[in-house]
Amino acid sequence: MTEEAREQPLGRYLATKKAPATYELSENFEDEQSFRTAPTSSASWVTNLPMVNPYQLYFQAAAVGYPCVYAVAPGTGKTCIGNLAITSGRLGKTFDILPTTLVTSGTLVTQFAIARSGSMATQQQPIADERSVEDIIWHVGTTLPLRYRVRLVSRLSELQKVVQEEEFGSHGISVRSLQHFVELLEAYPRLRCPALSLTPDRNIYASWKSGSDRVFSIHFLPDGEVRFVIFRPNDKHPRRTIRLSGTATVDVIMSIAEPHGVLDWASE
Amino acid sequence: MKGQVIPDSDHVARYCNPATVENGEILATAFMVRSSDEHLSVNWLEELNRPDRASQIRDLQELYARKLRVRAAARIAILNVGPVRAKVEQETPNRRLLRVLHDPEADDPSHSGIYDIPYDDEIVAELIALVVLEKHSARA
Repeated sequence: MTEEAREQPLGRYLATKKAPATYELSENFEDEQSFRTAPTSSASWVTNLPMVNPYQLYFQAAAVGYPCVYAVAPGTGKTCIGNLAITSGRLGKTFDILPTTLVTSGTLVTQFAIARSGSMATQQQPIADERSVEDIIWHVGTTLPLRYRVRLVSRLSELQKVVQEEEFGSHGISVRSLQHFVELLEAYPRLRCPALSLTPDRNIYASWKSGSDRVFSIHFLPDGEVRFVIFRPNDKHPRRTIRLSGTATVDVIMSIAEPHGVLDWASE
Repeated sequence: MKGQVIPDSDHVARYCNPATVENGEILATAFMVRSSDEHLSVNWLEELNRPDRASQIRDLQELYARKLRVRAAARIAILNVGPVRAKVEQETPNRRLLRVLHDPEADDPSHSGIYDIPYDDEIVAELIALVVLEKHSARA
């Protein structure tokens, strides 16, 4: 920890320290080298944002895809709207930081949310284990991409109601299965909203389809395993379809599926 | 007769609860089984001895109303036995052969089952979903 960080008020430092742990960035967040900015096309009025020190920022969960307001650092008076990413010097990975609300309390500080882009840590648990299906649906309604948030919440609520009505005393959708599904959507915000249904064991089954020869479906098992099915055209034999299915874990399923071109029809 | 093989030319109906239907589309989960399930339950349409599809569907709607709480979004998927078996045999890596057998119950004489659907490989359910012949409301 640097001298500069020690000079921060304790609460502010703890908030900063806590955020990366919550989202499973490196515990040694002090080692992260820098932030870089990636302003959105229409919302940025500061384009030459200086590199800032992580200690100077607050973090908090936020909605992915929201326009964002952030300040550079306490007391600098510089504020901008845009997207921000952390470049991790140690890991060599880029993490999106999705800022939320502007906090003005004497000095200008800002809140951020951190979401991973394109990959997931195996042990990621962004939603507490003990949460109910209703809590997770609320989480979906406040954090997932706006373009399908309403539709997804509606569908999940419908599924939960159906299961509870058909199975007296049932808690409904498998909580762990739903958690893993939401984790995937959070890690891959460019995915389209899938067709959603429930398996006989009340697990989430998500499916992205485009015709009968472009299918990508994932069965989210409660233990973090997934079973998947991919149908895709055979590029060298136009009338034929390649079909495969298998088992993986939720954190690697996209890296397995992407080489098969599923994002051509499963993403925006 | 229990265990009778249903001919490929005949048809079976699957009750699809709303958790397996989205916007009227019947999804693959409608054709999935649990590890403890011996078969996927269906009804043999020709065994109903009705003159046409409309009266077969009415019989099924009455049957479901007696046995289940049928919601408006629930659907009946009609499958032609031969094309289902052929689709699965031709397009699964292990050329899986499904059996479709009569399994009458006291209060449900047309009850039947599709056997040998694996519970741990969703590809069969996906293939069956692709060959649904007709969709009807499960509620009258």
